Amino acid sequence: MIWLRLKLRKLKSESKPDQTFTIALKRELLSKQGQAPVYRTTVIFRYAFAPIALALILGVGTTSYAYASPSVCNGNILYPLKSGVEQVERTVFYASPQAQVKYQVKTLERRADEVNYAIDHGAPAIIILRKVPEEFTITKQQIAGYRKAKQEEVEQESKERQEMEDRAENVLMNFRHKVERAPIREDEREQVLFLIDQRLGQIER
Amino acid sequence: MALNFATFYDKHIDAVYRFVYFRVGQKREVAEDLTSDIFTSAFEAFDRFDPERGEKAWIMTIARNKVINHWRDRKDSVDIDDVAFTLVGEEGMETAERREDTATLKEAMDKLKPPERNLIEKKYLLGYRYEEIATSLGKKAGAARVETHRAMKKLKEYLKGKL
Repeated sequence: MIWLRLKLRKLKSESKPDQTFTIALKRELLSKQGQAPVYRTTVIFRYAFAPIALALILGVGTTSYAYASPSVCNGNILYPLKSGVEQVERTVFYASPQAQVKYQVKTLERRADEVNYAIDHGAPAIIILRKVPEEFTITKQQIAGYRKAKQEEVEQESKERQEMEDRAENVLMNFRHKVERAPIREDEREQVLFLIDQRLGQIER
Repeated sequence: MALNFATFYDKHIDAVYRFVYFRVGQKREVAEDLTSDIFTSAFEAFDRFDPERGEKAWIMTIARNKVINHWRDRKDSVDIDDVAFTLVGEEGMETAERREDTATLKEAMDKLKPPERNLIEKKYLLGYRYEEIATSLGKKAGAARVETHRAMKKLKEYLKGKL
């Protein structure tokens, strides 16, 4: 029966609404209500803490200038300092795989800002111009890796859960079929079937 | 408003969409239009919604009525329980193998009696719990489970050697 459930699950996933549609509809409906997005306190703290801690690490002056300015790009004397701070930021504040991907997208945006700045202020060297497509490739690879890992994780978990549920359910269902045909008194059969059905209700999912 | 509409929406959007999708020939555009219509009606009536009626039962009643109206507007007289899976979808984004697999499954679903098909649809495609299926049928959860299991066995028989 597991393969059949997997087929049905596939059909279910194929009939899932498009996320763009669901988000757009939700936004449209909520805008009628004037409902603002709700932010949880923990989320606020998490996002408030990161910049504060980062500011402490960065300190003032040269380091923060190097980190924040798009004029500091590959080849600049302050660039190693900038890369070092980014490395610390990535390690400390973006530890999870999902956060790593987010940080990579941020890095791509930062590199693009630097190259755009360099173009606006002269003719940058090819090593600088190549930075954006290179960073884009890394970003795409990270996103693909993250997506694959997530899918495998979900599939594995779902498969294991389904197998356990099937095993448990099959034991009880087979027992029920057995009782239905067992040479026992009718009132006893009804009692046992009632108990089985009660248990089947308990392993509700 | 005790129940937040955003939460309500997140909880039911997938099931409502799928319910509609399988009843409009698996046409995404039509399903999206009808789903929008359903949730707009739900949104407008949300203040009057009595949670004791059951969220899923309420939104599915609206969905059901909208689908019936959709077919009525097209001057097609169909039994809403019969229409599921009988109309072949027109989405062409799958590989041939996947499409064939899905088509075989849909054909087999179509061979089931409407109540059996509804049980499988509710449980495995719309994400109903047995308790919710039982409530909609006026039966006990155990009975709903047994009937669903039997319908699955029947479906499995129909599919023997085909998938």
